[in-house]
Amino acid sequence: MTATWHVDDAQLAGWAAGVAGPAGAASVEQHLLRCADCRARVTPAAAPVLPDLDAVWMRVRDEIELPRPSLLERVLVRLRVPATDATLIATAPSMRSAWLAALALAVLFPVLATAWRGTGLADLFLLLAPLVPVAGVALSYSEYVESALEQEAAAPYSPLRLVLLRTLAVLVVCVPLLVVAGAFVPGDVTWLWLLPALGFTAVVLGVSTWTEPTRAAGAIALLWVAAVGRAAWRGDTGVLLSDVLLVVYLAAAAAGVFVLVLRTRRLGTLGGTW
Amino acid sequence: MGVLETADDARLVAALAGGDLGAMRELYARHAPWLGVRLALRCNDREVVADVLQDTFVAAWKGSQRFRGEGEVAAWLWGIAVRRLVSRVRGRRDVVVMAEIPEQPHRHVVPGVEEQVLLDVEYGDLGLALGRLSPEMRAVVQATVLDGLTTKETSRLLGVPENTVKTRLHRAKAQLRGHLAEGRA
Repeated sequence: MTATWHVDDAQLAGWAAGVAGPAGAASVEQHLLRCADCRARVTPAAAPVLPDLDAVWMRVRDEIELPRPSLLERVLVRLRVPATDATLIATAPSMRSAWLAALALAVLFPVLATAWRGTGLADLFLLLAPLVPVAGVALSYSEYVESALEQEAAAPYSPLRLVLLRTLAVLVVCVPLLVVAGAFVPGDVTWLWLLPALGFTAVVLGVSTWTEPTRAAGAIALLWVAAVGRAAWRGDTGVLLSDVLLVVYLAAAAAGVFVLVLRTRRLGTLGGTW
Repeated sequence: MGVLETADDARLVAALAGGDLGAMRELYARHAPWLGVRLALRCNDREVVADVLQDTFVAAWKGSQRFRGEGEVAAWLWGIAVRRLVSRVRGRRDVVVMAEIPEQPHRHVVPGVEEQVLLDVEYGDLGLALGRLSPEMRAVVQATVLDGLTTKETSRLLGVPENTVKTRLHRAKAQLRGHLAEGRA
C-alpha cells in the first residue's frame, strides 16, 4: 500500500531522536506501520540507545541456522534437564545406536547363561557374570558405533567410570524388561544373572566418587572370584544366586546408585553426564 | 538487483517458511531499523533492545506461517516485538520504559503544509492535552491505546498492578476529556 502523504525528514529524524513528543511520535509510528517508503527512510543513527543492527543480524542468523532440537531433547529440557546435558544425551543417533547395541548384548548374556546351565560352561559363566554386561557395553561404544568417541576420549574423565555409568544405564533399563519378559516365557528366570552385574557396577561407581574406579573394581573382582571358587569347590555354584544373595545384590545396587547420585550432586562433577 | 529486493513483505514472509535465508536478510534490512528505533524509544537499555530485536526476528522466522497474509507485515512484526519487550523487561526495575518527553518544542523549520498536519497533532489540542498528563498516566495511555497492549501486558511492561493500570487509564481519559473540552471552550 502506498500512501500519498509522507512524513517529512525533520519529523522522522525528530521521532528517531526521541524528541517528537507523545502525539507526534504516535502519529509517525502509526504511519510507519502502513508506509514502506517512510520505513525505508528511517535512519537509526540518531536513536539514543539503538544497538548495532549488523551484530544483531549475526545473532539472528546464528540462532535460526541452529538445527531444531530433537523431540527427545525438547522432552528432556521440559523435564528440567539442562540444555547442554539434553544435547549430550540426545547427540544424535550415534549415542542411541551404541546404547541399543549395549542393551542387546546385555539381554543376550542371560539368555546364553540359561541355555548353558548345567553344563561345565555354567561355572565359567558365573565367574564372568558381573563382567560380561560391562564388557558388552564397552564394546558397543567402540569407534565403529560411537561417533562421539573422540570428544569422550579427550574429556578429563576416567574411561572405566564412563563405561560403568553406561552399564548402569543399560542394566537399569534391561533388568525390568527381562523381568517382564520372564513372566511370559516359561522356564527359568534368566534375569537373575544380571543382578550381580547390576549390584557390582553400582557399588564400583559409588565408591569411585572417593577413589579410582579401578581399585574398587579390582577389590570386588577378587571377592567375587573367591566366592565363585569356593562355591565351585563345594560343587554348588547355584548358591551364588540364592534368594538371600539376590537381595544383597539388589541392596548393593540401590546403595551404589544412592551414593552416586548423592555424592555427584554435591561434588557437582558428573551430575547428568549420562 | 535480485527478485528479493522487489518482492513485497508478504511474499518475503511466505518465503521464510521454506527456509529462505535471503528473504530473511531482506526482511531484516527493511524492518530492523524502524523497529529498533521504536523499541529504543520505549526502553533505555541497549542490550534489552538488541535482545528483543533478535527475539522478534527469530520468532518471525519460526512462526512465519502464523502470518496469514492479512494486514501489514510491519504491524505483525511490531506486535511480536512489543510483546517480547514486555516479557524481557518483566520484573526488571532497572530498565526504564518509555522515553522522556522533551521540554522544548522542536520546531526549527518553517512548517510546510503537510507538516502542519503533524504539528497540529503535536501542538494542537490533543498534543497539549497528552503533554499535560503525568508521565505515569502517559505511559499507560501509550502502552494501551497507542501500542495496543492489553491491561495485563501493560501491567507487566510498566511493573505496576493491573488495577493500577486500569485506574490510571480511566483517570487519564477523564483528564484528556477535560483538557480537550477546556481547549474548545
